[in-house]
Amino acid sequence: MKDREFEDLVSAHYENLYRFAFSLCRSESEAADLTQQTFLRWAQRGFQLRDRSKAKTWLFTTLYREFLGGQRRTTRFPHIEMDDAGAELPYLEPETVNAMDGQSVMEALNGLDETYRAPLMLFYLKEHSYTEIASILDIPIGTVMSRLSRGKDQLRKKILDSQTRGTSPSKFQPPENVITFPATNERRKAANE
Amino acid sequence: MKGGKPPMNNQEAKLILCACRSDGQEQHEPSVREALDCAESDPVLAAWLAREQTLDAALCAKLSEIPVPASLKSEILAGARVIKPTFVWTDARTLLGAAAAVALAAVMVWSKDAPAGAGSLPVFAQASPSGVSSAVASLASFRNDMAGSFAQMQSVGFTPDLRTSNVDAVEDFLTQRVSRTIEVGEIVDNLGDARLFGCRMAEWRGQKVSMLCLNSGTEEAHLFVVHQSALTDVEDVKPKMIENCSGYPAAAWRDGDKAYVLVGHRPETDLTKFF
Repeated sequence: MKDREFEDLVSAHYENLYRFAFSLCRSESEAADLTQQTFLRWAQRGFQLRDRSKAKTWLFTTLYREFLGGQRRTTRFPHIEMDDAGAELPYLEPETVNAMDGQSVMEALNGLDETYRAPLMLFYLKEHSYTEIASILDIPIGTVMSRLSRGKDQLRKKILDSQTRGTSPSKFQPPENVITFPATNERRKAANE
Repeated sequence: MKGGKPPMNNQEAKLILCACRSDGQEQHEPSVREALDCAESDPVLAAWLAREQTLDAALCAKLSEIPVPASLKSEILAGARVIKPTFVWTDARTLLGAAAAVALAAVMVWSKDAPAGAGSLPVFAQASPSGVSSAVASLASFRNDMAGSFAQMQSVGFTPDLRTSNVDAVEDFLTQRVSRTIEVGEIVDNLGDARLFGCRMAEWRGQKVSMLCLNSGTEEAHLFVVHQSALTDVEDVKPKMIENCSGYPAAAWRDGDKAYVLVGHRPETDLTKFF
């Protein structure tokens, strides 16, 4: 692949890939590492993809798999089944969201289980249809729909709760078994110091 | 109501509309169209959809504000410069194939020019691994090659060419490309509780191969179908015996005028769910 083509690909997708990675890892440095790792995979293998129109889906799929691979190497996040018994969706005014900053919305999203975070983030990035989300996450379309529906419900509850308390959603505290990419993280920290 | 699906209720419509983007890109899909029709005829649902889309737009805008590290792009580009593309097996096989073709051509030229009585050429009983020859191929090699192809598809992110559970749509899609009738419904019915969710085309030694994407409960697998004429051996492969091929569970069998290979979507897929 020509350098120019690669650079165009990076320019077109690195920001939303990073945002998706951030929603998965909940850590800036890990999200940056995961994004970089995804493009390195492309540099190594992506040229095999004949249909270049599928590059975007390939990148998001690869990033998600890299994330899951990292999870397998460490301890899995506990999977928390959300209670979907609540029939009534809480009503959240768009103005409430408009009054928040992006970081606060992200913190609310980060409070959800990864089962819901991943499809919601892909949905809100506005890059993918639900069929593409199903392909990236490797789950049936019906599951994407139900996760989006429940995830939106949970996200609203988080935002409303934070508004009721008069605070922004609590800062996410990563669990003890959060994924880390020690080698690159340490390099990054060293560079910052 | 005479046959067919029952009309969509509000809950179903909400579930579908909840997953749609407000830019209307999915509106051509029948289920989305039906859900939108429900919203048009139901003011309560229409009001819900309008609120939902406004809120979605607000959340999209906020999440796009998440800052990206300023140095990330240059780090990615610098990192990629020191990576060299891996020499992958497909390339190696292509080169081997080309080399085999050249060798074969040389032997044929030699035999044409050789004096009578120089002896007959040996018969190439097995197709070369490159797929240059399609003369003879066993069911086992079909199984191994398809599992290898699937592993390759997975390595770049597998997606079906057509993602639908509509049997007729898949049948039309494949029949047009294979130029033979593929009885998709009948094939799927013979695979336990399997349900179709898409299809793709593949090639094997110059033959078009139909690939049906299936799930059964939580398990997913892909069925490669080729016409029996592509296989000229009579090798006895125990029906539906599951082997590990290229890291994936795979089973091969014959039925009627077709040969089949079922490959698990993941190394740990339980193929018995499809039998």
